[in-house]
Amino acid sequence: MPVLVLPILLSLACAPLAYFAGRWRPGAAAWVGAACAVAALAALCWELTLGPARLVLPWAPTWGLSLEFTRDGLSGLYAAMALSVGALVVLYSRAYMPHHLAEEGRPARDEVRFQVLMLSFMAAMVLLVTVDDLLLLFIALDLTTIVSYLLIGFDRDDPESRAAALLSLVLTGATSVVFFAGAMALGLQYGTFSLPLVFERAATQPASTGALVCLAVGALGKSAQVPFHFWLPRAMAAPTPVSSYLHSAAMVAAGVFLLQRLYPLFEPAVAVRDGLLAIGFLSMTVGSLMALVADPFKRVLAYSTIAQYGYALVLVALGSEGAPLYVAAHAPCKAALFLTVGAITQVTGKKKLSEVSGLRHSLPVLAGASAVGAAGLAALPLTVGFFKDEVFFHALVEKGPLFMAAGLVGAGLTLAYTLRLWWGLFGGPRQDVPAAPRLLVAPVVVLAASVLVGGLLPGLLVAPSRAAAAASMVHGGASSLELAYHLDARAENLLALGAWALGAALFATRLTWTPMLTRVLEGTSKVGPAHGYRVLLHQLDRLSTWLHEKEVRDLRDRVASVLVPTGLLGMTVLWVTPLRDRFIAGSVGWADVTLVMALAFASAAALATLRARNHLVLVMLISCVGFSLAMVFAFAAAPDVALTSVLVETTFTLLFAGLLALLPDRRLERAQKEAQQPRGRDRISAGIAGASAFLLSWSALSHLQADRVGTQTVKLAEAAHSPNVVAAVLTDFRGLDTVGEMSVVLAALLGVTSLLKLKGKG
Amino acid sequence: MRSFVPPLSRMLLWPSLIIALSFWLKGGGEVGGGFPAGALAGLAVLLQYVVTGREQTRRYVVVRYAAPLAGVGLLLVVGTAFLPVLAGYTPVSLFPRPGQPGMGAGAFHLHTALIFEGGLMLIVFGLVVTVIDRFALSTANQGDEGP
Amino acid sequence: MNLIASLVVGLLFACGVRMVLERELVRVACGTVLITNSSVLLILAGSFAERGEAVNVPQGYPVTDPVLQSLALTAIVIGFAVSALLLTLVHRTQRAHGSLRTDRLVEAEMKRVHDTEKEGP
Repeated sequence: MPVLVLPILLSLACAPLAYFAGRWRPGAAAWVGAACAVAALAALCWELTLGPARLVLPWAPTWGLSLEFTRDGLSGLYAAMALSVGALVVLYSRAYMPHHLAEEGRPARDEVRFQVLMLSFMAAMVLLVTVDDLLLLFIALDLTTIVSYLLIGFDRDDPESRAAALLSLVLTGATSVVFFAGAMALGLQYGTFSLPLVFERAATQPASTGALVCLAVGALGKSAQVPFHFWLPRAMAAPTPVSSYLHSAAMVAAGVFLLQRLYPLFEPAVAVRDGLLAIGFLSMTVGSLMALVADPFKRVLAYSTIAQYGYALVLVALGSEGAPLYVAAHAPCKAALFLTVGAITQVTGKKKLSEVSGLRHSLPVLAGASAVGAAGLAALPLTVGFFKDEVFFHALVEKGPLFMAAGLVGAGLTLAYTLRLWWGLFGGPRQDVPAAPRLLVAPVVVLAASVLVGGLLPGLLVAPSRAAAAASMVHGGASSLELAYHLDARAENLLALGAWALGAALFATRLTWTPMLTRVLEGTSKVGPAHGYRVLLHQLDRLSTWLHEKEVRDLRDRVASVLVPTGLLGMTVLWVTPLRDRFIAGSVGWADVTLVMALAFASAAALATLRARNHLVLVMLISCVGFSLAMVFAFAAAPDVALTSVLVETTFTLLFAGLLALLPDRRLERAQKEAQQPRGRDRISAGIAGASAFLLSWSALSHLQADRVGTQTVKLAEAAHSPNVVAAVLTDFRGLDTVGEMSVVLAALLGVTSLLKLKGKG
Repeated sequence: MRSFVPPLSRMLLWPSLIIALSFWLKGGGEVGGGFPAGALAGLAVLLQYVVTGREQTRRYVVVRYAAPLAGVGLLLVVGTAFLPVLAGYTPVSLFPRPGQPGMGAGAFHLHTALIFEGGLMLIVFGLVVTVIDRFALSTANQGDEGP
Repeated sequence: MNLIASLVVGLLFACGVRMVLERELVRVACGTVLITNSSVLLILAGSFAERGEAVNVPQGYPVTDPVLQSLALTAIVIGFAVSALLLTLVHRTQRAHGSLRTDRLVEAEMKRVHDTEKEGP
């Protein structure tokens, strides 16, 4: 049983270990972290051979909450992806970050911070894919969001980087809150947050559409799908290792992963899946078209990511068994390309396609390795990418010709922009640049090798993808996914050939259509969601300024604007409830005379405060109210309350008098004079508030329960060894409340001490 | 002529504090408890401030360390409330438990509630004394820089 | 008795609101104290109808509801703590702004806002 947590513990240990290694020597952080990640990967692989398992650790059993982890094909595939790409990217950053930090003018020690953040992100990702509980899913999702904010905004001196980080935080954070709403709705519907139980109950009672839409929104925001896609290109302001990790194998994969994990819920909801299908195709189109014209390399890749996750979304929406395979095959290709452009930026200092060309002569190894990655992304045979498109076409063939056509165009566009990117970097007239450091190239080569191995030996992929599919897409059944090359005229092969032809044609004629497409896309970006976000932000800013001005213009109006509506609301509530006719005046006997007299005294003193001419009189009248009330408490046979009240009131009166001594006389007089000009509407506000308080308390006093807790406490107090029932209630029965209110008192004390510091100025 | 008020007030301090302590100790059985005890003790100190001034009053250790005392009080309260959790009881379990034989005589009961109430007393006392002290300090400062 | 008690609660509350709406900080503080008092009274008013002896109750004799008593007790203590904080705040404000009037504070605040806006982008 405890074996299951070994990979999780190892991945959680990466970041702290790297931190301590970095304390010793900054360069060691990356190596230690990567070694730890590889160890976690090894533990994971070994465990996956043991078959699926679950681990349940009780957390708050009374609330039915427990920490639940799972080990199945899906979590295994995604965790392996996160760990392997993570280890490579960390090593790559060892070579990349010192240069980057030097360019930013930051100390080299910051590299440790960067590596720790990357490894924390990896841990959060592993956690996300291994938990088996809706609430934990949400928590892990938010962890990834927070760490990604820190990573994207790593260049904190760069305003663009900060804005991009904020944008991604706002979008993915807001959508994950929507996800939380969906998770809560499901939890309430099924009475549990444990996923296996939820799935079991969903089989007989389908989940509500609203909850599913909420879950889907959370996933779409994470996966940067239309209409939430615009955070991803902005997030390219981050250092390249961040982009290559977060935006190939980790963060954006999380959204699609969520959909796959929760697929059993979506399976019966055909309408929701149709919506996802439409969004998937839309993201494909938007992403591919933008990738065709974008100039900075990283933006091309970002738009390509949007498009590629659109494919994955389509596969999920169609319920295809190939969805996990698609994501897994895409990750190494995309990561390889990201790392390539990062290396090129470091070597040349350029960031745009229009500024570089012909690098194949200076960087031959990088060119070869990235060609493999690009081929994988474009789904050419002999790479693992071929199979991602094969499962894609396979799913579309079953849907009919229209879908096949859409898939063909999408795949053709993919080939076109991939060619454009690779050719733009490495083809064309020769440019001579210094050679790239080996550590920058090695991870790309490893990734390219994995892409090739997957393409040459597809048999290796069958078992993990089947396991992943069995864990999500075909729940409970066995997957029949087949991966092999077929040299015949089946529809999938024909579609692939058509896509390559289309892509090649588009690439060959690129000079003719690029300017037009650029203009069209620029035009649409003015009305797109990104524009909407900007406008929204601006308007919110203005609204907050306006509210602030309104609020502080006159403090009295602010107070009145709270009290009057509350009072009116209270009276309305009383009016519409059936309790409105049942006011009980209560009887007044001879025994009550003292009480009434004390109350009358308090009221008279309170009324007199309004007319007080001078502050000392005012304070005396206030304390008079307090003492009269203490008298009331005494007559009401509440000696504890009365005693405390008298003592507190005395102290308070003396303090107040002390305050008056502190305030300058002149100001007091002037303030006094000005206070004598009351406004009519203040009287009305006070009247409404008072009337509402009167009616509400009368109603409350008229509906006291006959059988109250009080009588019970009297009986229990004897058992609690406390004849004074009030003390028993305070210390024992409601002890937790007392602890809470003591912290309030202590907070007030701290407030007083910090406001009047011993050695403050003057 | 020397006023008889300062000596009298100094004489009143200790009886007041003893009464406050008795409020605390017999709170479980009769009228009293931590709140009034703390307020009364605070009031006794307040009287000293009013009559003899800040410098004289701060000679008492209790007064100088009033704010840390409140912190100790919070520790006592939280400790009584949550230490039983470590032993597997629910929060705010007091000892002796219901059903176990109690100890004590008259209004005085030996009970962990007593520690709890003691914490309340220290907190309230600390609050009162600190506020007074800060006000007195401000008065003194203002006197210095006054016209 | 209910009627009388709730009338007094309403009256104290109205007076408190009336004072909170004043333009001067000492009175605002007094107003909150009145509002606190009214709520303590409301809490304890629940026990007015069947009050009795609080301590050493003989069997079968009516009892003032101890839960309400303890609630009122805590309300008083918290009310005191908050009022003390409020008084400190009044004192501090006066020292910082040299005024006891809320509208002066508003002016200072608006000035600050405008200054920061001018400094900002």
